[in-house]
Amino acid sequence: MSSLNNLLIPAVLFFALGAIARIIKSDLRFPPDLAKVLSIYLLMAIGLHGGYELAKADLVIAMNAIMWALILGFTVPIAGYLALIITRKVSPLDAAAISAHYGSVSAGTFLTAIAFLDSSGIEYESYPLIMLAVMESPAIIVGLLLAAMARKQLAASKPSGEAKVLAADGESEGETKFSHLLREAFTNGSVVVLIGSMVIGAIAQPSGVQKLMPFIHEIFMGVLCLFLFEMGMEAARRIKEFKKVGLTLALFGVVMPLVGGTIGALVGHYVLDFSIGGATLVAVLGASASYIAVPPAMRLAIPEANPSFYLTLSLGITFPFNVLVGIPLYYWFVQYLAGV
Amino acid sequence: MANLYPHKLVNVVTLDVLQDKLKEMFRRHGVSGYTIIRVTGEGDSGESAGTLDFEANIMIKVIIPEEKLQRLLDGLQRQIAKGYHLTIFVSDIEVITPEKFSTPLE
Repeated sequence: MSSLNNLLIPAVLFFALGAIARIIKSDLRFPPDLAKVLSIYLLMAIGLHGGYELAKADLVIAMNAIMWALILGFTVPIAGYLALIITRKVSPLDAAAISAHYGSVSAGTFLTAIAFLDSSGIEYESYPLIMLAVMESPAIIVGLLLAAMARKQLAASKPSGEAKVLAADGESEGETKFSHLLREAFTNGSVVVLIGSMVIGAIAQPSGVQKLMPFIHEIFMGVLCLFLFEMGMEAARRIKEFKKVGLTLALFGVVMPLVGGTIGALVGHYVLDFSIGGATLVAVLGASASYIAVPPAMRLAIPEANPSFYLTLSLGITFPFNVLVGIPLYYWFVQYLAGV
Repeated sequence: MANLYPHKLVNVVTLDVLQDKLKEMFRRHGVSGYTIIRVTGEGDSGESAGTLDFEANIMIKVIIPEEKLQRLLDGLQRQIAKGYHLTIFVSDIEVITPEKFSTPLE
């Protein structure tokens, strides 16, 4: 029954409406930059709310959650990369770019999971929120390292003359470029908004944060509906790219979140000892693929990779899969682990 | 009556993501300024509707004296060799204040 409940959450219904609007070729258009405004609001509201709760939290558990977020962030993309290389369907550079998306996280999916838990009246800890902030960046770094490795192999297999032409470009990039990208991975807009708001929520006067509740709590689900409405349209826009992606890769878009979700659920339940709601959120973090923070980073850092592969997979396949099927599935799995 | 002086207008259509990188390159080549416009369209990289950050496109316009053109184009070509998608076209234009376009940006 719970899966039907998930589908009947307004936010998920709006996601479906967005997709349908696109499929029936409605003239509905959102103003440019609306998605950006909404995602800043959502990260700010969830950050303030979470920071406020975290101020009362246990530091040891929080540090432990951060450590496991880092472990997940660094290992999930490597697992994804190896799986993609084994399928032999994409070049190593494409595999690096795709796996960076899967190691990172999607705040949209995480918030939908919160809507799911709220609507079913399930309690959850605020620690997964710090994990959300921590997990944005490590996968980008892993993606860059994997791409650097792949390029070296590629250069080694090429006749030396060709490699020299590429190297002799007279601009002192290379190393400096990597440090520049590292900085970008950690100063990424969504990381700054999320962590900054969490700090504000934690150190601000509680009475002041209470006054913000109408802004950060009461209208939150409405804004999430609007955001998912637009994301539904964006996801459906990817459908025409499905053919380019092919069946094996499309399958990866469904299997990879199941693997990541399982790892997340195990970590959340057994290692971090979270409640059913909390462990479900960790599972969602493991399962989700980024479609806001990572694509621009990959476009800049791995221009050789084909964007229609990673965008179609993360936004067109994995995101809808998680929203419609994944979240209730991970919840059910965590319940099973807990023996409920 | 104002005199007209021949110059070159370089137009680059590319991803918003590459904006900083290209601006830095233009500076290195001593351009006097540039104008950036947000654009949408469709081409070999698919449709760019510009709703989400990663697919927002821009058009950069740079006016330069002819003698600086070739070096700038070589620089842009190196970016294409690295795999970045740039649509570049150059037009002949005439300006009335040539000194404005020969002073490099600070």
